[in-house]
Amino acid sequence: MSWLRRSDAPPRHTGGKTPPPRGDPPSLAHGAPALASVLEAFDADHRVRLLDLGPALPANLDFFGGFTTGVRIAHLLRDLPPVDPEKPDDAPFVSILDRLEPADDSRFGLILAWNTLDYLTAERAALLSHHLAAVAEHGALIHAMTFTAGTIPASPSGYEIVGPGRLVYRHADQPAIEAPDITPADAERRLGPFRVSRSILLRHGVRELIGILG
Amino acid sequence: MWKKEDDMNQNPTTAPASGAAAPAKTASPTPSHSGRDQATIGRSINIRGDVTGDEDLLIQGRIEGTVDLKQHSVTIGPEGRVKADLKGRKVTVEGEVEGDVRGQEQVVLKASSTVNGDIVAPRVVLEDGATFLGSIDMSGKAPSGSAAATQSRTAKPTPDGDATKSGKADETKPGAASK
Repeated sequence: MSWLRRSDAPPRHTGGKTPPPRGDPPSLAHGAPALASVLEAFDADHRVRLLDLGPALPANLDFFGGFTTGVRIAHLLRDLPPVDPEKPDDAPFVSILDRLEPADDSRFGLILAWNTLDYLTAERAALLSHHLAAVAEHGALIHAMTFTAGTIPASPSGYEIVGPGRLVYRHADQPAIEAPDITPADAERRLGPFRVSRSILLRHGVRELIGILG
Repeated sequence: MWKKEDDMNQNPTTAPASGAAAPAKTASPTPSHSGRDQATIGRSINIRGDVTGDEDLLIQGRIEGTVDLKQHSVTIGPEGRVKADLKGRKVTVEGEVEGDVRGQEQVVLKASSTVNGDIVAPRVVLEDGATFLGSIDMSGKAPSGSAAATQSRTAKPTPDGDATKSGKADETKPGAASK
């Protein structure tokens, strides 16, 4: 991976500079065992409303269509405003959280935050989590993926599900930034109202998290 | 979203901004792919108002208002720009839509499409490259064999052996989020 180095790779990129792309295949496939176990509970007779914080991707819509009564695509990171230290209320970011509102009175039972935490500050992640709690049902699950090592693309891309326990992170070949390395304790703070019930460190330094509301 | 006033001034065929039905049919009916008559709103046409009709419709121009052809197909062509709620038997989007889309049978978002609104249809097809923000509700009766229904029902979760270390025991019981 151009943006994911293993432990024997050269030192990490630091200081906000972006190293040149390296021309490796622009995708990373890895397992998601926690997601697989969550999905075991869902079938055509037991559905939930899904909130996907990522972009609209055909594979995800096809896959989750059978598990859900409805899908909301928020694509939260698409228009992420820069952090402005002079605006402590972070109004620009709060305004895009309106996308989280469900189309009707129903609440979300499953939330996909597959690379969201990697591109949000701790403060914004906590803000997001509190907004999510307001539009999710009691017992709702949030599933998150975050990189703990190496580098990630400078601009967020999209995860695609290729099976119940298998995800592919596709991205354009682009400059990289250092991975945020969110620890389970960090995740607990960022997810706020969602209690982290499962945390698995996968190959490639990807951490899979399940949070539960209430 | 669009330079509405300028466009209207340049196009004498623009419909009045009333709630009355707008002249959707701006060209002789031509057979659609399905063999049915299809009206076309050409690329130079701007309409403000409500569009209704009794034949399939291809929109290459601009519409602001509503489009209601419940029993017929509506296609927003690659050059179509619609700021309206859309209703049709089958709705296909290749251009841009800002509004809610309801398809009695299905809604198709082609790769070139940009849709900002909510979609309600028993079957929704999203092509790779389509840009979409909003809700998709497929809770209606999905035709058997639909892409979403078929793939999801056949996919059975299997544990993946990719994990190298577990930070916590599995406290999440399947169904924790059940309604």
